[in-house]
Amino acid sequence: MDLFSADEHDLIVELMNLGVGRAANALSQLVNDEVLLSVPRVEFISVPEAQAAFRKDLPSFLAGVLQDFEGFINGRAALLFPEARSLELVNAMIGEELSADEITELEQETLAELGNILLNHCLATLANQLKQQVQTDIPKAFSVSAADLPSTLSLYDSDNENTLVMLVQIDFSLRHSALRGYLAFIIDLRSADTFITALRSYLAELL
Amino acid sequence: MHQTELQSACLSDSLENLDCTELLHSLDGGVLLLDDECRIIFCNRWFSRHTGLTEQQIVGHTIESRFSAQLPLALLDAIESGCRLRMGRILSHQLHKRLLPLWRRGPGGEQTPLYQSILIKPLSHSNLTLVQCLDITNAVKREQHLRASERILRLERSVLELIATGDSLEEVLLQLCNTVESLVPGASAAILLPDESGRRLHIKSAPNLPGHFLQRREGLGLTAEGTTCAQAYLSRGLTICPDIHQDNNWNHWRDQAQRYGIAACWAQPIIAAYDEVIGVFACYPHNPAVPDDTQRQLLQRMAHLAAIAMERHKRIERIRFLAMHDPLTGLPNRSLLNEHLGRNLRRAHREGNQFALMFIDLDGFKQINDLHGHDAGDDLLSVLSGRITEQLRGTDTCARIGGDEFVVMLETVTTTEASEQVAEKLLEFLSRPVKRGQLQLQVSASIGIALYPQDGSSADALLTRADDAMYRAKALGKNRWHRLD
Amino acid sequence: MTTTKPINLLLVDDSRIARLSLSRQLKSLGLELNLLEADSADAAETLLQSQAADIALIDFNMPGRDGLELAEALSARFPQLRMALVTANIQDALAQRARDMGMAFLPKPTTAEQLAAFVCQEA
Repeated sequence: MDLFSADEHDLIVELMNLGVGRAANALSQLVNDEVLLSVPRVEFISVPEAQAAFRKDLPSFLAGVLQDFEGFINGRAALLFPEARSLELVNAMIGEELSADEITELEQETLAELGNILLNHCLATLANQLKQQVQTDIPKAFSVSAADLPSTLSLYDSDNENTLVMLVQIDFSLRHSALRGYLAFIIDLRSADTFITALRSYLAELL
Repeated sequence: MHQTELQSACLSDSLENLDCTELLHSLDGGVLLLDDECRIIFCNRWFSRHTGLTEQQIVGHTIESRFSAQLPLALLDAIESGCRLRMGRILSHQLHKRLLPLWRRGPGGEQTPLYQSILIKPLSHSNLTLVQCLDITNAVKREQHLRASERILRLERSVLELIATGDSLEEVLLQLCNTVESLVPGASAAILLPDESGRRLHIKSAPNLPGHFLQRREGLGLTAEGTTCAQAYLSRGLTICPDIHQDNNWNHWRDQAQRYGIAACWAQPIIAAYDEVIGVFACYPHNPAVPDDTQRQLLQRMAHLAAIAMERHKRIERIRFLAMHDPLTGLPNRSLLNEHLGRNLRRAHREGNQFALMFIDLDGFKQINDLHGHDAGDDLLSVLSGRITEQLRGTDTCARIGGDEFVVMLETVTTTEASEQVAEKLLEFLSRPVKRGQLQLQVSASIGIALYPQDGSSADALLTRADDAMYRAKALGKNRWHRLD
Repeated sequence: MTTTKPINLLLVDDSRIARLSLSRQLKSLGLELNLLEADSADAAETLLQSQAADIALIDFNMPGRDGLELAEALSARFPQLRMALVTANIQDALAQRARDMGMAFLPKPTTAEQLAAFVCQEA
């Protein structure tokens, strides 16, 4: 989508990087080990494009964390992983060699916290740098098939004309585990004016 | 339209009459409401019950000041960011082993810390923040149980693989002992099997008990006053001695037990098919103790695997036996004879000894079969083979290599005459009648003798020589022995 | 001691915005700076074949070779080059790796004060 200019896109990527870096720091203190996070790619797509991308790029079973936010921008964010790898990530975080095949409710909670820390830092950094405010709700972990993902994200409820999906790739490196996940921000464009204005004034100062 | 309007009207009526505070107090789980300065303005009864403080003692303080004793930084940060920055947080048990000082009362009245997770939710359209404390002790217990079960299953799988592919029963029994020791820390394991008399138990496998414990020649007597293991064997049920120092049956073994760090004994009988007790699986904790349900189950499962391993071993041994022995008489067959012959040749060569080989063929056996049937022939063979072995020493071999053909190997003979004397004896006993019901069955034997080294120095040479000598005996009139010049 | 000639400062970061941000902060320091920019490790090495630099501010997270890998290559060829790792990944482990290489460690977002302290210190 051409909502943002190249510079504005670049700025968002840079801000996401900052947020993710902060989250990595918070996580590394929790797990007492080095955690490396990077953002190789950010794209802005429409809801139908997002649905197609999910079907095409994501594995058939996903584990994820959902969290609503409101403030300078409103919407919901989801952290998504291949379900099989999510257990590996949780185990890497807890630092245990559990070789169970299924993720239990305790591990779902830990995954929810991981998503919570990541999403909070990304949104807070975005807000802070743009001198705005944001509030987040508590996270919820889920496990779905890729086909059910759009309904989990309430994509069907959204007004497609006014919804923007920001899809962020995240690379995790934690102990001996390395995997790629996605952050999907489902943004209500009708609330995005504040965001866009703040972005533009930040850029204006820079350029 | 009308219906939903009615429903929501009813709902708001009910809610208006509801005392929200009372609702929060009746929830199962801790509920706190914090203001934007992180001060507690409400705490519910569950919370005060599980902290041991009254509502008056809690309300008005911040969590930090109320519970100053080392609250984790992550919790304090999360509360700050919840109250001041309006960011929701979840603090999961697995990442934060310790959160708030909450306690629950166990069945014995003892206080134990509560496994918890905490939700911090800023309330919208308000400056208040909700803090929920969830008691997840049951979930944690279920998880531990699940992981423990998985661990046992993995260990069992590796033992089963060993049983299926491995040859050594010793290795399997050792692995079973090791498995128990890894799952019951602070204990040694051992497997005890009965000796041939069936009256005493001996230790077959005990990886962490010293060698001389294993080699005690005495073994444990299987009597009613026997130790825990003996009782388990006799009663066919798990027998527990929680403290050997309090048990008179252990008087005799107490010193030894102390030396080996044995303070208690849990004995699980190993039961095979048809309810037959074939051994005992023993677990010796180093401190007085009684097994819990998980440990009881573990002992049962390990004993069951031991039974499987031992039955399989027995079956394999039986197959090996059948491959090397004649099924009717139980005598070695040709394969085993060749093994013995080869071994004896090497030994005799080394030591410069003589030994004798005899080919025995029964005269008139075919007629017995034709006249009285194969069952009679079989019975006759069984009896006669017994008569042969009775005349031999333990080190000699008698093999059945054909319908009515036997080969006897005398391991060592000092003189030629000695072998001839044995042959005479055999002729006598083989020609005595065998009573079978109303019948008297009688045959005689033709025996060919070959001596090492005079008559040959290889297995083939000796066998051929003895065979030829036997034919000569037959030609000369049967019922005699012969040795070729 | 004030330098009379301008300091040649190389910025390496794949994000144009990040480079813009940094250069803006640097310009606010009131120093005589000659700013060079590269958007990747390869571009930085190519640039240094034809131009000289006294100081380099290198981003850690870049596609291709990361900041530490570039630093290793540069320190071999230009031992006099003073380098700082600039990164959003503000963790002890990474900071230690940078220091082991003799680099300074500047967390993002950078502040003018931190930049001044690094640029102005004597080698």
